[in-house]
Formats: sequence, structure tokens, C-alpha cells
Amino acid sequence: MATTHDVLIVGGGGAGLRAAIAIAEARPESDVAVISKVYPMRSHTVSAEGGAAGVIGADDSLEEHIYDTISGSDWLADQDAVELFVEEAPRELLRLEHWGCPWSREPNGRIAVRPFGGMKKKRTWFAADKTGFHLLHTLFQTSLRYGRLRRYDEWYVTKLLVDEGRVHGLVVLELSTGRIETITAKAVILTTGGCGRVFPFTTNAAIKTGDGMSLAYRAGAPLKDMEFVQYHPTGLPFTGILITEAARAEGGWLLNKDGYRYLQDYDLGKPEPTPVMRSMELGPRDRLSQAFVHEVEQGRSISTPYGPVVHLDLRHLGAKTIDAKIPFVRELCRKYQNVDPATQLVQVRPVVHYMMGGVHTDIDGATPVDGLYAAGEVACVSINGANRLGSNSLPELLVFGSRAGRAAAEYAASRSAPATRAAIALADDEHKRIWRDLRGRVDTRHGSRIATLREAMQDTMEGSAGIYRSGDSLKKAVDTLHELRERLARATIDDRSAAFNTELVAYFELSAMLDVADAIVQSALRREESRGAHQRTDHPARDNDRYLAHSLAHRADDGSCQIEYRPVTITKWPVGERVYGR
Amino acid sequence: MADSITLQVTRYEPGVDEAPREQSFDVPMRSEWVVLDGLNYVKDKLDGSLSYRWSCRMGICGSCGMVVNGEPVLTCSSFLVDYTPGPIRVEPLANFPIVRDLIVDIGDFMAKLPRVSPWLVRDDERPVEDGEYLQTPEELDEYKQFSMCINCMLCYSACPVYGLDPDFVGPAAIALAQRYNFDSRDEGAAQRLEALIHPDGLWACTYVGECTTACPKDVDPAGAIQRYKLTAALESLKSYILPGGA
Amino acid sequence: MADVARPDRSKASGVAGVRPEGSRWAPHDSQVEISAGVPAYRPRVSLLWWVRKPAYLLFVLRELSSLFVAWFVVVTLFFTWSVGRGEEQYERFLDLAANPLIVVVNLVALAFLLLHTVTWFNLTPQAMPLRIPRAVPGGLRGRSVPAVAVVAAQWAGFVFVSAFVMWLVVR
Repeated sequence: MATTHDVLIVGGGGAGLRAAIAIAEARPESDVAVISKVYPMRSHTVSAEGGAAGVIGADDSLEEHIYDTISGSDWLADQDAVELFVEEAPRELLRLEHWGCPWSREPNGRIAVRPFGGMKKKRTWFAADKTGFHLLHTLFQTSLRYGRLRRYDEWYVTKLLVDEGRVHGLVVLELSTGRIETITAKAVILTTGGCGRVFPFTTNAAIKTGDGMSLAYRAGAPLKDMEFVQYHPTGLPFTGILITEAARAEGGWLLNKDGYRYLQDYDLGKPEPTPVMRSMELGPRDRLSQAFVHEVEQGRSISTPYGPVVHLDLRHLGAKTIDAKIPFVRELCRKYQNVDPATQLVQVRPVVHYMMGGVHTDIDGATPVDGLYAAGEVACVSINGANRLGSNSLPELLVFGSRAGRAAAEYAASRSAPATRAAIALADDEHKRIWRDLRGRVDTRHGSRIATLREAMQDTMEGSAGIYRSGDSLKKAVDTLHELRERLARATIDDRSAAFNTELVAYFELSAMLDVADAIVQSALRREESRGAHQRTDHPARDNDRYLAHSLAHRADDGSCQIEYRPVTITKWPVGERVYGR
Repeated sequence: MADSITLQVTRYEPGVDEAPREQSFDVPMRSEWVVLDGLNYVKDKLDGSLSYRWSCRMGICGSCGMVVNGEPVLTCSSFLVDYTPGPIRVEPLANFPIVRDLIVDIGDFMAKLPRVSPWLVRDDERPVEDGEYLQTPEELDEYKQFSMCINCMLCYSACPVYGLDPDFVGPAAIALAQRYNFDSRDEGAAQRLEALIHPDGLWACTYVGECTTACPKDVDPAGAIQRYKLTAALESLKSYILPGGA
Repeated sequence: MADVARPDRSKASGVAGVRPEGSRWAPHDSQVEISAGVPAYRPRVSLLWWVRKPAYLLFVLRELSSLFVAWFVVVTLFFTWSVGRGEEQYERFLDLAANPLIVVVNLVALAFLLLHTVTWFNLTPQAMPLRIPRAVPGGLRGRSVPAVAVVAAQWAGFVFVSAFVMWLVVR
């Protein structure tokens, strides 16, 4: 017996909640439900620290934010999407303020902005250094106003039901009971976030396992620009915990083992005592992470039991500034590194942070599958291209979350109820598959543990598809991932319980991650150039003739990954050189 | 430093176990490991059926609250070295129904939260085109502390009133109401008061204060509630002295 | 480092369905709740919940101290009334007060009263945070009055009033 809704939103983070609120406001008669594998307050949006960019300064302009974003993306961003994004971002951030978001303020009560990496002007709004936390809680609490909004908390979607190029609903597992349900809908919006857990060192939470990307991929929607994985230059070495870019925006320096601000050797400008926009430590993330790799190769990094690191120096900021502007940074360093950034150097290294790639959508969040939408980190519009600028992803959630919400609701309103017979047949197959995986597994004591396979995948990805890649390492990775997928089919699952079976969920998540990992390495293998976050040692130059285009990874019927290309939309900004520090 | 430490974890499988039981596991002792790392070691290498919630492992998502050696803590922020030589007792949060192993049902809190109208209430909602509502840094400081709640439920686990009377709205919900009451942009204090001036609302609190002790984010829900009691008392007094709505 | 591939069953102290020795959990009737179809376990709160933690014990004692506050109010009222009724009644009061049982009760009550006072004073800053008005010149304007200052001020007031009463009584 299937439940039905007009629109289903999979994922209850910033984008999902924003979409839900957008629908509740634009079409209050819509029957909307948000399905999330965790309670919405646990979504990874909560960990974002630094801020959200939106043009409000008198000395700033939309043009400049657009240019910063496009050049930051190494010209892979679709310029029409960036124009729209930059224009709508300030309105969305103001909307959040009207909903109670505690943005930090100037003494006169106006919104305060701070500098951020790759941005020419100060335009990053911030709520101390817990911007994502405040944004998410504001959205979640505001969503509680809309009584009609239904939520399925701690339900895990295992499959999208697609028939004849159109989405009909999904199959979902209620975690607390193990019950499997079919929910039909006229439209589905994926807002499940990124996939940082495909790599071993990441700022991402445990839940970032690319579930939505895999759902879309298996449903016939292509994944775009998957080879572009962002490493954040400053993560803590053991845990991978994020030390926000705001620490550098407030004046932090990156030093190698000789106490030298090494970024000046990498065409990122000259060291000045105070931060200079788009220069040195405020350069773009891909360039900073690549500089780290070179320092390591030259033996100028600091060795630790957890690998090489460099130092982040915040001492000259003083305790007062640190406590006012980046208090959470101080708290994290003390707690997890046992150092006080006000008086000591902090060890940092690049860690995987964000996925530029994702489910291919247009500027309204629509995928090529009818009725299927996506927004946020799971999607690739693309506004981030080959490298995302810090503080662009939070407004991205809001702008495209609301656009996708409205578009999906409109689509649902204009369509009759989905054909249920086809959906039920597909759903039944999925029910059977899950029961087989849960209960019917033959004793697999000789199978691998899920954690073992997951670690093997992560090590493969870090070694083969990290900051620098080569054709050989990528080809080997393709084979390793294929082997891991076969081993996963025979993996050991200790947990036979129906109630809150987190091991079964881990199995599904690993299966999704293997899809995503495959798309990443295949896309990286095919792109024989270096651009933004994708750096090929065997193809070190940018090749605009062949590769000023998005890669699209399709899942063929035999399960293999097929790559094709789609040109980038250029409107007013011809391809140029990315210049920082000059 | 010993090279391993014992975790005594609560196990419970509904329908199979009549009551929760304990199971011990030895995990490696590392100076940078937290209790959560120990649990992950158990799940990854020893017994994949151990079930618990976790996500961000940096103390911001609120998922991993459990009772460790009798105290409600975030297991991602509790270091193994602080519990040597062990054994370390890891139990689910108190005062909530146990669904499975270390996982409790927090549905009660989720249902109560909307009651306190935890959103910005405005009589006149100005359009976005008019710009931001002005708020000075001092006005922000008035409610900032109460906005830091990560909904980890450690305060509900610590609160004996909630344990004895599950109808009590609870510390986090009331602190969140105060977060909005003290927000200079908000105009909803009256409707929140009406919802909370109730035997199961703020008057159920007897100022034990353990919620504040347990809170990992220094929200100080006890302080929020006591201040609210003063406000509520004054409002009640006003309504007697000035009947017919003041 | 323990590199065990399978759980060490010899260490396990629980087998499904059997209550192990020394387990803190007990199966009991009426604990089973159907929450969305799943029998969740709701632990029963023991009557002696407050002896488990020092903080809880202190709380209960603190609450109990109000009984002794009431006792002292009664004693003080009786004392005042006795004084008002003249020498003989006053002597009768003094005799009663000298009764060893009453002395013991009063000593215990005094201890509780001190507990009451100390906890009350310490909790005041949390329940009633004061802000230094912005009109006041200096670096502390707009900030909270430090808790220590509030507590100290209350003790100062206490000492002053006590000294005054003492002087009244003794002179």
C-alpha cells in the first residue's frame, strides 16, 4: 500500500529545507514531504563555518562577484547560472535574516561582511564562525511554522522509481523499524549533499556518502564534472576537522617548516602583514592545496605521525580578535589538537571538503529525468566549475534550493497523478532486493567487512584521484574499484536486526560511494588536461580547445560508466588567465 | 599508557532482548582517540551490529550524545585518555526510550519543539527589498548564547524532572524560546509565554541546574528558564493589577 | 594493539534474553512501549534516583532546606510573640529552646539554612544576570556584572544585616 505526496524532498539540509519552505510559500496547497536519513539538524550544512557571499557593499558590484566566481572556476562555470546566482544571493541571505538568522553586524546594526578566498571585495556574510550551523537551525526552525510540511526523519531512500524517463516515487527504509515503504510522488528533489567520505581525509561528516548522486545515476540522470573534487587547504591532520578559511581572511598565514610564507613562491602575490584580497593566503583553494603538495615534494613540510603538514599561524591576530571573529576555530584547535592558536602554531593539511561535480541540472534544478530535480552540493548547475570559491556554497543552497522547490512544485501541479502500476512493479523488485540483502544473505563469514572495503576504496581514491592524478594511477583505480564492488556483493553483515540496522545502511552507503568513486575516476581519466582542482601530471596544461566543456558520466545498461561532453555556457566573460596576487 | 582500554557498551535488540544488556570490547588506547573512535573501532573491526548515531565528529551536529560513566556527554568530544584505566561504561541517553543499543527515541522533543514557536515572529513582515532588520552587536549578544544549542539532548538526559515527568517541555525547548524572546527583531514573546506558562512548561523546572552542567555549548538552559520564571511571574502580576489586558 | 577479527565472545557479558549477573538493567512489566511498532525499552526511574549523583543529592538537600527555613520562621515568630508577652513567657521560651532535642534540631536546621543561603546566593547571578548600563563610563560598560561580584554583594548584605540584628539583640 503506497503513500503518496506531490513533491518529495530527499535530504533535510540547507537546500532541502529551503526548497520545502519555498514550496510552502509559493504553493501552500502542495503536499510536500522531506525525507532524511538523519534528523534535519544533523545535516552536514551544520558544520559550515566561514560565511555566505552576497553583494551588499556600496563599493561592490554583481559584476565583480560574477567575475571572481567564473575565474575561480577556471572558466568551467556556466556563466548564465553564475549571473543568476550572484543576483539572487543577497536577497536569499536577507530572507534568512528576516527569518532570524543571527548574522554578525557592524556597530551600526547593518550586516557585516568579511574578505574570503578568491574574492576581490569583502562580501562574505557571516554568523561568527558557525554560519552553517546558524543557517541550518534558522531554516529548520522556520520550517516548523508550516504545519502541512510532512517529515520522514531517519528514513533512508534506497531507490528512485523511474519509468519511461519520468520519476514516479521512491522506495525508502524506515531506520527505527526496518520497514520498507514505497512512496509515490509527482516530483522528487534530491538535496542529499556531497560525497567527501569517498576519501580518507575529509572535513565531511560520516553521512556524506553521495547517496543522492548514486540514486540519480542509477535512475538515468548523468553526473557532471565529477573529477572536480575540492581540497580545503586547512584541515586538522588526524580528524580532518575543518579550520575555516575565515582564519586566513582574518589574517592567518601559512608557513612551511622554515617559518616561511611559502605561497609567495607559487604566483600568488607578495606577503603583506595584513590580508590582501585574492592574494597569498586568500588565493583560491585549488592553488593553495597544490602548493602544499609541492612543498611536501621539496621536503619543506613538517612530518607528523599523520602525514605531512604545514603551519597555520594565527598568533599575530591576538586572543581578542580570535575570540571575536573565529572563536570556534580556537575551540576546535584546543580540543582536538591541544594547541591554542592564540599562542601556538596549528598543524594543518589539505583535506577533501567539497564536490564541485554532481547531478547535472539546469538553472531551475531540473535533471534530464522528468520530475527529478536536484539542488545544493549534490547538484552541478554549474556555478562552481573546476573550483569553488569559499562562501559560495551556502548561498548556492538557498538560491537553487528555492528555485528547484518552486520548479518541482509547478511541475507536480501541472501533472496528473503518476502511473502507479509501473512504479509498484519496480518497487516490489526493490523490496525483494533489500530483504535478500538483509535477511537472506548466505552465511558470509568469509566475506570482507564493510569497513575494510570502505577503507580500501578511500585509500585508492586518495592515492589515485587526489590533488594530483595521472592516467596510470586512474586506470589502476578503475580496476580496484571494480574489484571492490564485487567484494561488496559478498560482504559480511553482522547485524541481522530490523531495528535501526546501521550496518545495512553502511552497506547501502558504500554501494553508493562506489558508484560515485567510479564516476570520479572515469571522468578524471577522460579529461586530459589540468584545470582548477583536476590536475593531471601527464597533462599539466589547460586545454580550452578540447575541454572547455563539462564531463557527463552516464550509467550504461551493463553498469559501466560512459563519459560524454557538454560545452560550457559563455555569456560575457571570455576565457582568461586566472591571476591572483597581481 | 596501556595499549588498550575496555568499553562496556549497552546492547539492546527489540523483540529479542527483554531488557538491555552489557557487552565488553577492548579497543586500542590512543591519545588522540575519543570514545566515538573506540565505538567505530568496535563496529568496523569487531562487531558490526553495534548501533549508535554519529556524524560530524566535531561537536556541532549533536548526534553522538550518550551517557559515559554516568554522565551525558558527546562521545566525539570525550577523550579515552580522560577515562583511563577504564573500563568505560557507554550507555544510551537517559530519560528517553531505547530503540536499539545506544540509540534512543527523541521523537518527544521533536514533537514539543514547535509548541514554543521557535521562529521569528513579526506582526509586520517587511519585504526583503527593504533590507535587513537592524540589530547592533550588543542586541545580538543578548540572545547569542541561547542560539548555540545543537539539540544534542544531553540536558534532557541530565534533567531529573524530565526523567520523572516526561510531559515536561524540557530545557532545550525553553532555552530556544528565550533565544527568540531576547532577539530584538522578535515580537512573539506573548504567544510563547502563553504556551509555556503551564505546569509542564517552565513551572515544572525546579532549578536542579544539571542541564547547564551537561551542556557542551554553554547555552545555560537553567539560567534561561529561571529568567523566564521571573518574566512569567511579573507578567502574571501585571495581569492581576491591570486586568483586561495591559 | 588488539587486532581481533571477530568479537571476543569470552568477554561478552550478555546473551540475548538472559539477564546477566550484576546487570543494571532489569526486565520488568510495563516497560515495553510500542513506538512506531518497535518495542522500545523505557527504563523505570528509581525512587532513589537522587542518591546516584552528588549534584542530585545536593539538589534534594537544598530543596529540603526550605522546610528548615519554615522551622526557623516559626521559631522566630514564637520568640517574638514570647518577648511580647512578658518576662514569664520569655523564660518559658528559653526553657523550651534549651531542651536538648530542640538544640539538636536547631543545629541541624542551622546547617541546612547555611546550605540554603550558600546555594541561593550562588544561583542568583545565573537567574538574574545584570548588565552594567552603557551610561557608566569605563571598559566594563554593557558587559554582565561578574558572578563573583553578585555573590559577594549578597554576602556583604548578609553580614551587614546580621551585624545589625546582633547589635540590636546584644545591646
